[in-house]
Amino acid sequence: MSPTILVVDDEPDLRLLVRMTLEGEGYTVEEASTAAEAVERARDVRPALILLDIRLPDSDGFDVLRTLKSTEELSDTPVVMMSAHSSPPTLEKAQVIGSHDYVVKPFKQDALLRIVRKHLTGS
Amino acid sequence: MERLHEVLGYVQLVLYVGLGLIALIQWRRRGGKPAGWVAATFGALAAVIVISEFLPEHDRSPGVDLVQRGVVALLVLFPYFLFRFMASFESPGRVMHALAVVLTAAVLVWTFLLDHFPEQDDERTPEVQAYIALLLVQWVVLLGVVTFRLWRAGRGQPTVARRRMRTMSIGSAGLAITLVLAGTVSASDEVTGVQIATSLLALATGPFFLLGFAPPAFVRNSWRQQSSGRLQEAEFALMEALSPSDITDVLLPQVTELAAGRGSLIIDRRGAVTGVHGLAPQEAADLASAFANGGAESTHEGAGTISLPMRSGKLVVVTSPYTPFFGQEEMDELRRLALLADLALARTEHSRRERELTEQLLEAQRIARIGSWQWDIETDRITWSDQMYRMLGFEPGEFAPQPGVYAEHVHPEDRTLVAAKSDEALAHGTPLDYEHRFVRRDGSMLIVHTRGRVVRDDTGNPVRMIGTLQDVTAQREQEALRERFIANAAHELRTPLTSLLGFVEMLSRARHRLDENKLQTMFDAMTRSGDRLAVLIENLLDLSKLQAGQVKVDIEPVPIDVLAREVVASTPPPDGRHVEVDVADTPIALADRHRLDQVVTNLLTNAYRYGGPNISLSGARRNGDVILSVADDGPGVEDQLLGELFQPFSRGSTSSTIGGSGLGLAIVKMLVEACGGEIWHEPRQPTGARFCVKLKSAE
Repeated sequence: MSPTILVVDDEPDLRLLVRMTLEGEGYTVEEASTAAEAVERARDVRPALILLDIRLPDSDGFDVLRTLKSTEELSDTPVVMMSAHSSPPTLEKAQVIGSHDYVVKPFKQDALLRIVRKHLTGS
Repeated sequence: MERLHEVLGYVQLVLYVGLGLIALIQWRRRGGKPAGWVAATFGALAAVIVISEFLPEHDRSPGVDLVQRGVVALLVLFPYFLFRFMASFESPGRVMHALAVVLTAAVLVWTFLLDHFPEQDDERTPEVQAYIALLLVQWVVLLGVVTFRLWRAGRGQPTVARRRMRTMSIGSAGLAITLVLAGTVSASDEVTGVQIATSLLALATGPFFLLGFAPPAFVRNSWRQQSSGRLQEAEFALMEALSPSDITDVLLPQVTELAAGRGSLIIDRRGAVTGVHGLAPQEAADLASAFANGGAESTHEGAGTISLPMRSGKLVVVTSPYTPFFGQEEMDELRRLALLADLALARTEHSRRERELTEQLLEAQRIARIGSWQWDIETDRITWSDQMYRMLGFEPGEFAPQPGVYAEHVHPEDRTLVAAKSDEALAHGTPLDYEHRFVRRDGSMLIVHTRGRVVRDDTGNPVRMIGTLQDVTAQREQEALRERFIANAAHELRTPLTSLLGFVEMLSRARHRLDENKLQTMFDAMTRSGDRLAVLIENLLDLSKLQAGQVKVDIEPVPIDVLAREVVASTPPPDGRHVEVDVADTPIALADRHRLDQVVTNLLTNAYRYGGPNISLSGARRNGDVILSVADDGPGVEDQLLGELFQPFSRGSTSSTIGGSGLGLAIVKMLVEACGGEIWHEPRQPTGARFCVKLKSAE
């Protein structure tokens, strides 16, 4: 069974892009557009990897990351942050909280896929 | 008796020759008509006495006779000269003048026409007796007039001048009496008591004249004593004067009193009156224009007006005609007062400038939000400027700044930095030039740029530190805001760009593997992203123009009902939405028609996007203004957004699915403000949002 990846982003077109990119490689993709939805979906589908946007309408990605890390069954799930902010403090902050990696928007499809593969084989 | 008479004669000789010389010297030194007449008067008297002394007695030769007649002629001229001296101050009138001339001329002519000029021991013929009588009349009349007028004019004169005039008056009275006595005494070889008395009287009048026109310093000083106390007071007052008006208030009454004048005034270099005392405004103005030109000291003896040059203009005193001649002392004192007043004026001008500069500096500090400080290292004394106190949240001068009070208010995280910078400055002379945070008394934070340096003495030891503190909080906040705006704009631009580039990459790599459905989905997404980028860029440009004030508005009366219907017609509601236009009383607002159209369209579009199905667009008059509002019955504005609803890039949680740049309301707010209006949001009950625009009414 192909690994399931949860994409959390409030932009529908971005979710579409990531979905099509990942599905083309044979992954199963689940979507969430808000922070609340993200945690709920993660609990439900137990994804192999979570792609998490930092800027979310109801909360921010850091809060979601904290919640995920403090949820027992999800604390080991690799989380890759996505952001249009590439500033080092933002990325450092995410690493401190427990993200495994990050993708800066706009990204090349190869770069996204390489990161996804890296963290999936690792788990 | 004989011997006494002789001695008195010699003393008389010395005295009157001395008087004549003094008069001549004074005339040479001072010039002027009065001094000239005095010189003539006493010169004549001295000549008479000297020549008589050397005239051989009992010599009847024609030469001696002529000289004798000349001596008598000089004696006749003496009272006339004295009369002219007096008349040079104040004309005694034409009749009096004519009488003096006629009398004097008559006696003079008779002196030379007298058939036989009498010797001392000659029998007096009736002609001689008549001649002597006329001579006595001439003397008594002229000296009497002089005596009377000098005495009377002395009234109201300053002390010294009055005493001088009165002693001169007494002197001339004494001479008149002397001559009457001498003329009536019967001729005899015997030296009689009357002769002695005559000599004594003649002798006594000399000092009176001397005191009158050239009193010695000790006499003048003793006369002056009573006025010098007041003068000293005036001098002190001048030294303490703070403003030019203080100076004129002190100076003018004092000089007027000193010169026993009617009034005085100060005129500046341009001839404008800067201070008057005791004179009517018109008279002051006339005097000012009369004395405006000409820099030198001038005394108009006839008019009795003294003008003293001052560095800052002129001091004019209206006084009696006698004052310039008799009031030498007072004139000197006037000059001294004028000089002191000049110094005082220069000092007040200097301190005024200093005060102005200080005020300017303080004002500049206030405007530039710069405070200045100084730390005297030796005394450990610290001073702060007013603005320094204000910036840090205190009242100016509220306390004397103690060492350490500054450090206490430095933001805890910056204390190490501030201490290190100060130490470095003291140790190595590094100028202070850095920013740090400061906690004000009320707890608010201040970002300050501190600049300063160490002042050292000749040996290089630090004496004090001086510096300024500039409040740069607003600039830094502005910069932070701008940075955030740019970061936001970049983020907003990257989001559609990411999907656009992503789909392009996917198309270029895998288009042969994609079916028609997928391709269509991708093209739709790419079009959406492209559109979004286009709108965003346009809005960013709009906002940037508005912020730079480059958008021109053309304010005109705009009928709201027409505008509302037009906007709804050009931007009709999508399916499921309904707009009700409710404009009562056809209000007419003052606004830029196109900008207002843009505002209403934007608000309406927001309502279509975020609001409920029922939307109302209404306009009404309220308190002289026009209120335009767009309301809906949707979920309303999320609480977290309320504070920054009109800030760029503040967007609700649903906005990414709905679209929009996040700049719409920011642009709307600036447009409304450019039209001179206001915009605000108010929540509706039970749910929904209402955006109100208040504009000035055209009616």
